Amino acid sequence: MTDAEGAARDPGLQPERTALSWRRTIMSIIVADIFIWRGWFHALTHERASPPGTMGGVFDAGHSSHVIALGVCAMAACLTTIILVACAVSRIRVLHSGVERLDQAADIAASALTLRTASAAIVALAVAAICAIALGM
Amino acid sequence: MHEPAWRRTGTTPDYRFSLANERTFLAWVRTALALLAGAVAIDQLAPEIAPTVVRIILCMVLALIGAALAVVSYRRWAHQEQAMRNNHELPHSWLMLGMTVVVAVAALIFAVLILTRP
Repeated sequence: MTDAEGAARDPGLQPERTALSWRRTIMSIIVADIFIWRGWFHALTHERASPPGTMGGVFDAGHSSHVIALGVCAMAACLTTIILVACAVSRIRVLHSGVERLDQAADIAASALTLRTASAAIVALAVAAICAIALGM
Repeated sequence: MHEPAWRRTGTTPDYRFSLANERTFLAWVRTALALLAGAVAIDQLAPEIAPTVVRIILCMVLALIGAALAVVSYRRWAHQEQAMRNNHELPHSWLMLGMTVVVAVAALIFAVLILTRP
């Protein structure tokens, strides 16, 4: 393959691979989300099932505070997902718009802010997951 | 929040290298997400795998490693880009060895727990 062919072939692929990578990341965060949401729904059904007056601590299983706390974790997980999807959408838009002028495009690389935000969203999701695990005791 | 100062040093790397670096960052982020999903999934789907306290500690350690990995993946991305901008050698990272050990140890612990489960 000559250089000209290489230059003609490559432009679409590099941004496309990166855009697909962002999409895979969105799918991964949704999987993590679903488990946190599942814990909340599980607690919701158990609250209805357990008879009143048998509860111990405020955050013990079956108490409504426990359900609300798990709900907060689920909402936080949802929020982190929205943030990550926003990062992904803005990146995919840039990657797809720059296809024709890749060599001139100095701004096709990710901004540090976008990646830092994505990284922070994962840390926030980890905090929500740790709280959900602690509440599951 | 502005772009960090190092982003204006040296020369902008070839877009292919920038995008490859970004994809590597995303691959580590997915690894972190897999650890998080695994931690919550083990906690919920396998409550009998170990005594409650042991299970909670193991799942929390997995989730904490996931959180740390998300931070490390950003730092790794920044260091790689700084090296490319200033035409330095790419920095050596213990991340791959570290994660290999983490995954191997986690797999061993859970294998033992599954085998010794009453």
